[in-house]
Amino acid sequence: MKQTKKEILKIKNLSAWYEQLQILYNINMHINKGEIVSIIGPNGAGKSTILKSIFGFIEKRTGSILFHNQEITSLKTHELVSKGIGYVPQGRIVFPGLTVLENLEMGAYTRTDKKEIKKDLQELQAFFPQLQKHLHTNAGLLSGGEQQIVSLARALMSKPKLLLMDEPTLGLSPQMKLMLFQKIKELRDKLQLTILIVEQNAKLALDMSDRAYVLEAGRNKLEGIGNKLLHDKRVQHLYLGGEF
Amino acid sequence: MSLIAQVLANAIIAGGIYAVIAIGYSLIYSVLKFINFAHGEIVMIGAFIGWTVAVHWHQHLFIATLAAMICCGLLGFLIEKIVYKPFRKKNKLYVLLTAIALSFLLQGIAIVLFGAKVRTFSTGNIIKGHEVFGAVITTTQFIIITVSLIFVFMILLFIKKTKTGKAIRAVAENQDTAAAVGINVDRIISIIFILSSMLAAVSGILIGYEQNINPTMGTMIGIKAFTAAVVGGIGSVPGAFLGGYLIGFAENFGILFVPAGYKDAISFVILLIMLYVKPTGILGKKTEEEVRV
Ligand SMILES: Nc1ncnc2c1ncn2[C@@H]1O[C@H](COP(=O)(O)OP(=O)(O)OP(=O)(O)O)[C@@H](O)[C@H]1O
Ligand SMILES: [Mg+2]
Repeated sequence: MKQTKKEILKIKNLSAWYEQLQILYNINMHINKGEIVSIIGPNGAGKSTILKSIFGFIEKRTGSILFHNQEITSLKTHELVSKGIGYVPQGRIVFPGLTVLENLEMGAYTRTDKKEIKKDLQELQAFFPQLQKHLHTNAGLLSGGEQQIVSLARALMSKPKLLLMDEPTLGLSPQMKLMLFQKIKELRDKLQLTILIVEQNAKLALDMSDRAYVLEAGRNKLEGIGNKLLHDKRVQHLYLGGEF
Repeated sequence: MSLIAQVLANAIIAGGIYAVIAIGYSLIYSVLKFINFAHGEIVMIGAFIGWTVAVHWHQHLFIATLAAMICCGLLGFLIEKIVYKPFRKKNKLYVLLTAIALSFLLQGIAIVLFGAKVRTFSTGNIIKGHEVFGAVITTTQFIIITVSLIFVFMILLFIKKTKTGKAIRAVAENQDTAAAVGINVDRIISIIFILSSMLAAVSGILIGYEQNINPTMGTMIGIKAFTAAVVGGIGSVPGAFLGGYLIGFAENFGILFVPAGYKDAISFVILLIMLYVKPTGILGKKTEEEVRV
């Protein structure tokens, strides 16, 4: 998909803390409409913290975050959902005691267009066939991979324009990982989504995304076109022996 | 035979009242993971508002109930916003202490407003009961049974079927994830306090038709309904419903075997047994560590 080069998200000098502990240091990023951008970096680098900061989960924060050129830094999480940002948390977090259908319905919580919601439910089931047979099962009883799909489908039900995904492939088999990424690409084209994705597997991430940011110890380290970074000596060095 | 029928009738009456109050404890616990120890006092305030409107101002019972529900709903809303919310994110122990302090405060206010005098809803003349399977049940008692069942089922249905009900369950399971799908968690918490306090108001009036009311009545009734909620599985609304009736039955059938003076102790014995046998209560789930997103 050709990008229109329109910035949908811009992060300027973002720093973030847990209590007294600073995790992020002056992070700068931008995402253009229609892009799949990934954030990679070692464990504890602060990847999840960036997504949480965007999504209003971190209280102590400086810098600014713009969505469609509009300041969203001070908005609450639930307000961001109404603005068109969706979030798939790390660790396949579903509402375990709610059925799969109820999980998806909750995904559409901010919407009032009942007919459209019904239609979207049907479409998602066609897109993720594994949802269909478990619709009335409590989500907590599903397998890990299935829960990940529920979590993703739930986020899609809010009809986001920007989707933040935190390690959606964690714990999946290599084939499942590839399949999920292909699904994600399909979704991007189908729903005109823009996606910011955190991914442990650097090779997969760089392979599948348009651009990537490499994060180290809470700081911007590198950025660039996915494919180019893949062959960058520094990236290879950072990850050599690890995920490759 | 007629003795058993009578005890059964009394058990259903008491059970219904306990269930309505216990649901309030469980609803609030399910979301905030703390026991609202002032809940019994809301029951008491509800009873006094009902008494003031119905007996003192001679209004229809329906209006009195409505007034009590609205006032208690508002009271519950304000209590959460002003008293609990500032401490909610800090420390569970603060909230607990605040709740205990608050119940003394509410008792004090009631004593100042209504005096320590015992009041009653009943009009004085003995009402003749109807005979049902050998048990004598007054019209008032029929109303108590019906009203408590209606409220219990309405709330169960509300939680199970409506969008707000599902959101309540979602918030109970994971507040961050609930916010992540666009649920305004603070608003849901307010709704829960309003709902539970309205239920408390109803039960306060129902109690007023069975017993005298006084400013300290909330303590014992609160502890017993809390026991019912724990026995049923704290945090589970259907569990609170079961627990309420279980305590009602245990108390009323229990006094067939032990002296009536021990009636109040029966529920606590059940609590001890339950904590020993199944600490999570009848329908309670194992509490897991809160999952962070
Ligand atoms: N709730 C929290 N309280 C305190 N410190 C935290 C909290 N969450 C994360 N941290 C710390 O912040 C740092 C960055 O965490 P973050 O989750 O953003 O890393 P990450 O890059 O997503 O790592 P991973 O690849 O393991 O998911 C880590 O050192 C972590 O220990
Ligand atoms: Mg992470």
